[in-house]
Formats: sequence, C-alpha cells, structure tokens
Amino acid sequence: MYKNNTKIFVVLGIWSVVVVFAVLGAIVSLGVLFDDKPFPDPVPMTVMFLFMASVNIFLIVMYFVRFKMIGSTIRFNNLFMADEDGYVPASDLSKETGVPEFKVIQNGQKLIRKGYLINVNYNASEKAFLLSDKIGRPVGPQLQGVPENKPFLGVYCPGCAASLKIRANTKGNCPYCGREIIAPPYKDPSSSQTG
Amino acid sequence: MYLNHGKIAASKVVNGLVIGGCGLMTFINLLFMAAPFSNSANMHGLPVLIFLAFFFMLTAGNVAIIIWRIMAMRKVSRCRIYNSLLEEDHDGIITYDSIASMTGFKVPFVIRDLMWFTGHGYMVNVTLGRNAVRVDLLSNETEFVAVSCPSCGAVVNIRKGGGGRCQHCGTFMRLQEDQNV
Repeated sequence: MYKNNTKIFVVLGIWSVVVVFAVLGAIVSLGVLFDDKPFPDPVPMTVMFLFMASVNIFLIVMYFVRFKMIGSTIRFNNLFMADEDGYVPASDLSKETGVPEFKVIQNGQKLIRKGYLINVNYNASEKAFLLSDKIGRPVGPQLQGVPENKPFLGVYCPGCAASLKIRANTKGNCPYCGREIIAPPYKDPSSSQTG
Repeated sequence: MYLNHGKIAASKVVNGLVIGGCGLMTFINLLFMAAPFSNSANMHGLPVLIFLAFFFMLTAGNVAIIIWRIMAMRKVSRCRIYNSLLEEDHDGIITYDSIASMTGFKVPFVIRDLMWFTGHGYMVNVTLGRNAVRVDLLSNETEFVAVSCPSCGAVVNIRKGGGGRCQHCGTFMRLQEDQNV
C-alpha cells in the first residue's frame, strides 16, 4: 500500500469539521455584507465582515485542495499497486492518467513531501518513481499476516534465466527475452529468501 | 524510521498557534485601521496618517511572520523525502551525490538541509559524514542483515522486512522479517 491511510483519515476528519464552520461563517459574513439594511457605521463593519468572509472562503477552498490531494493519492496508489517491477516512469503515469508529465512529477513529489504517499521515492535523474521493497503490514486484526502490498519477489526468467524482480501474484514480461512470467504468491514469512 | 515524529508534531502545533495568533492580530489591526473612517471618529490630518502607518506596520509584520512560518513548515516537510530515501538504503551509507541525483536538489543544498534537520532534531539515527550520510546500524528499527547472494555468493546487506539487489550480479532478493541469518 502506497497511500498513508492514517494521514488521509486524520486530514479528512479535521478538515470536515473545519469546513462546516467555514461554510456557516461564510454564509453569515456574506449575508450580513450583502444585506439591504445599511450599517450604522459602515467602514469598520464592512472591513470586519469582509475579512471574516475571506478567511472562511479560503478555508473552504483549502478543503477542496485537500480533497483533490487525497483523490490524487488514491489514483497514484492504484497505479503503483498495478506495477509489476517497482519502477514507474513518470511518462507512463502521464500516459495512463492523461496529465502532462511535469504535472505528474509535481503532484507525486508534493504528495511524498506531505506524507500522503509512502514507500515511494522519486528519482529526479531518471524521472521515475521507485517503489519500496518493504512489505506493508495491515493494521486490522482480521488481515494480520497477509501483506497488503503484494511484495516484490526475486524470480528467474524460465526462458533466459535472467534475474528479475516482480510483484507477487502478478503477470509480467521478461525485459530481456520477452517471455511471459507469472509471479508466485508471497509465501509465509518463515520461509527462506527468494532469489 | 529516521524521522523524529514528536518533534515534527510539536513544530506543527507551534507553527499553527503562531499562524493563528498572527492571523487574529492581523484581523484586530485591520479593525483599528478602519476605525478612523468610522462615523464617530474625530481624528483628522496627520494623526490619522500616523495611526494608519503604525497599524499598517503591525499588519505587515504579522503577515511576514505568517509567511515565514508557512515557509518553515514547508522546509520541515522536505525531511520526509530524505527519510524515505534513507529507508530504502541497503548498506548503511548513502552519499550526498546519490541523494542529490535522486531528489534533483544540488549537493550543497542537500548537505545544508540534512545538517539543519539533524541539528534541529527532526531526523534521528543518522550521522553526517564528509561525503555521505551514515545510517545508525544500532537502532532497532534499522537493522541490516548480511546475506550471501543466491546467484553469485557475494555478501549483501539487506534491510529486515525489505529487499534489495545484489551489487555484483543484480539478483533481487528478499529477507523475511523473522529470518535469522
């Protein structure tokens, strides 16, 4: 799993509460500002309600920005989970999503920096995202012992015997001879290393 | 994990309070700046200008503090990038050049950043060397295990719970968490 679920839930929780108050504040402030009844002392009152309205509108916009970031995180996570070899060029992501490459890179870096995406590194010189070899462990007790991210395994190509890295339980092609490889499922942790 | 989460959370709270406080002060200053234009105000001429200039300076100061704290928060968030890179390292040593190549930052910038993060306690279990960052091998969470490559027999350091490629033949291998070698 490459999305930080804890972060996503915390952000959603906090910002959902904030946005409720912001919407109420914005409605009240704008309602008072555009009310037909003139203020007895217009300048200070207008400044006060204008400031309050701008702060509340800013908070509402920030909520949607956060929401968009969470959406991007889920999209990135789905694409990363579908990758077989742990090397995801930004150009591939760009083709998949239809978003320009520089935008994909910018988004990915931002999500990593802000902690929404985990177990991923961006390699600036190769313009590619490198997925971690770590095994993600689910928090829920019902899933204990089942790796959540289908970890990468080391396999030998049956055609040319090249050493390859492939995600467990997926299908891919050998980059050297092109032969199709079906990766085995991830074994119990007590088994020895796969090479 | 090379991040000091306690420090990062504390810094976020402090920055949030500072930004909130300065926002409130800006609001009050704006109200003061609007006061001379109210119907009941009886100030005219130079005193109004001085009054406005004073509160304008205060507002500008508060806005500058808010921007400064937002920039500081942005800087602290960069340590996640370094942490993520260090977590993927297999031999306990990662050069500044490779960090710079991965992140796209310049080498002096990387060194300055890492010195700041370690100096201020945002990153732990790392030692900055002359040319490379050394990851603390003694930490419980950052255990490396030496294994021999199943293809060529070379000794390779692997992080527990992770995997890595042999530096000599490129074979990918994985070490299970509870495996003792």
